[in-house]
Amino acid sequence: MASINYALKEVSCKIVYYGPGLCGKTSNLQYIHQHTIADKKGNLVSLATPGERTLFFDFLPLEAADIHGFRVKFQLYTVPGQVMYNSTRKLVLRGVDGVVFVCDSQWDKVREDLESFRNLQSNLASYGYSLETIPYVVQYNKRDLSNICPVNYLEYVINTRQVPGFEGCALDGKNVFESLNCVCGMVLANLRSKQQEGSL
Amino acid sequence: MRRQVSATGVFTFFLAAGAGILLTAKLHLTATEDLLSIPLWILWLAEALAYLAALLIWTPNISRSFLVLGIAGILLLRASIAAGAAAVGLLIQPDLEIETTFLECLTEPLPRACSVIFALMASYPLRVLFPHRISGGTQKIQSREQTSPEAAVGSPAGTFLFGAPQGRHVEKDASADAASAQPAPEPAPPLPDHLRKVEIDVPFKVVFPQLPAGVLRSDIAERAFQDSQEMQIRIPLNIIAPQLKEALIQISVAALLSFLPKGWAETPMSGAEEMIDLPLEVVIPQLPEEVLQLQPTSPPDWAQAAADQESILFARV
Repeated sequence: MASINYALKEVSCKIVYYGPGLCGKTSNLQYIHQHTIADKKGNLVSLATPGERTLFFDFLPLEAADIHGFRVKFQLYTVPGQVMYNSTRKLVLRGVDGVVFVCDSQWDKVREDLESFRNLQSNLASYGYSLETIPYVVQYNKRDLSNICPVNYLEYVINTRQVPGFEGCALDGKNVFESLNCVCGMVLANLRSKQQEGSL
Repeated sequence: MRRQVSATGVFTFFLAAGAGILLTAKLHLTATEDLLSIPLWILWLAEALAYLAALLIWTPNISRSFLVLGIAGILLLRASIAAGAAAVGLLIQPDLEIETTFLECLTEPLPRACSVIFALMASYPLRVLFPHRISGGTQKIQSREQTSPEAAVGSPAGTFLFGAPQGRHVEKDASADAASAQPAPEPAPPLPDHLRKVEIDVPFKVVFPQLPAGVLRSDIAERAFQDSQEMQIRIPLNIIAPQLKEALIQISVAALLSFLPKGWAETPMSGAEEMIDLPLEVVIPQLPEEVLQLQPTSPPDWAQAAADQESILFARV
């Protein structure tokens, strides 16, 4: 969960990009890394196979504008989408504050999207978390392709809670920052409400 | 779907029938003629009403033809119990006349009441054999099939649309198949009545390659393959809708074949239980808009909190 250092006046939050294999999670981080001010970002750490498959996870530290005198840092992670790396996905989810669920919009990937979303719920549940309490957005990626399914069906299958959803294209950056800003805003709002409740 | 009586049901049937025979025989042998003097027509009426009530309670939507068949079946069972009781009575008292004993077991008030009760008890496990009458879309599909015989016996040549000759069976099959394929954590909302008659066209060429060998008659399969570019299979929405949430729409071979003209399926058929995938890209674009409408839901607390404040934390450079 988010850490607040009152001495250093610093807030640190963890955002995880989750989704099935090859849906564009790493592409999201790469685009964010390429289009962020240099002094507000760290190095993009990525451990991938020669076939550009994420082997462990990608990591990108970002610093947002100061809010109420606090420096706000976000650590962006991706998970490996391949089914066999579930223990890694579970590990990455530990202490998560917000999730960007990246869907592959292609017809033949919708089932994988659903399975990945259920896997996310299951892995969160193993830590006692739930999507009822952890802010998340859904990004319908690869909207530039021709064999894509309509967003209303993806919403029907994945986004039944009707949380914010974005039609995106991670390669050309469409709605990449919008998704990030939305989930970060929700994470901060969630932190504030928890602080007001006294549960943080 | 094949209906069959469970092992427990068979056991219950024989237990009730056997007990009925013994008790009826006992009552016949010990009953006093003057114990109950009820007019015969009242007994017959009460008996018929008892059968009717039992059948209507067990299968509320039973069709009329099966109602008549059911009453006849229970009556036959009751007569068999009476005959059994007569046989037992003759074993105990060999001096009795066989015809008289049988008639007495059949008509005397006490043995009669006993045999009726046990006949009802014995026929209870058999109620699963009575099909339910289906209301809504599938009923209409059946009637459409009846009014368009050319669809049922249609030639594989040319473009044509197939109906559902056995919609009731298909509906049961599909729901069972969907449940076995993937348990749905969130059940799909029931389909509104006006959508139950909607049908989705699936090109035969899409499903043909998935059909296991030996389910279509070889001569038909050859012709069907040649003409499969133009053929469409019409599948009721009520089969598809419950599976939409799973992003995987499947139909069993048996169910699919029921939408093809009669005589196409090989008998005996192997591989009827196998599942055929219906491609999402074929099905989803044909769905009425309202099928994919999500139920209104209250947003989570964090979403509400975020909506109160708009902030841009990161900007593209």
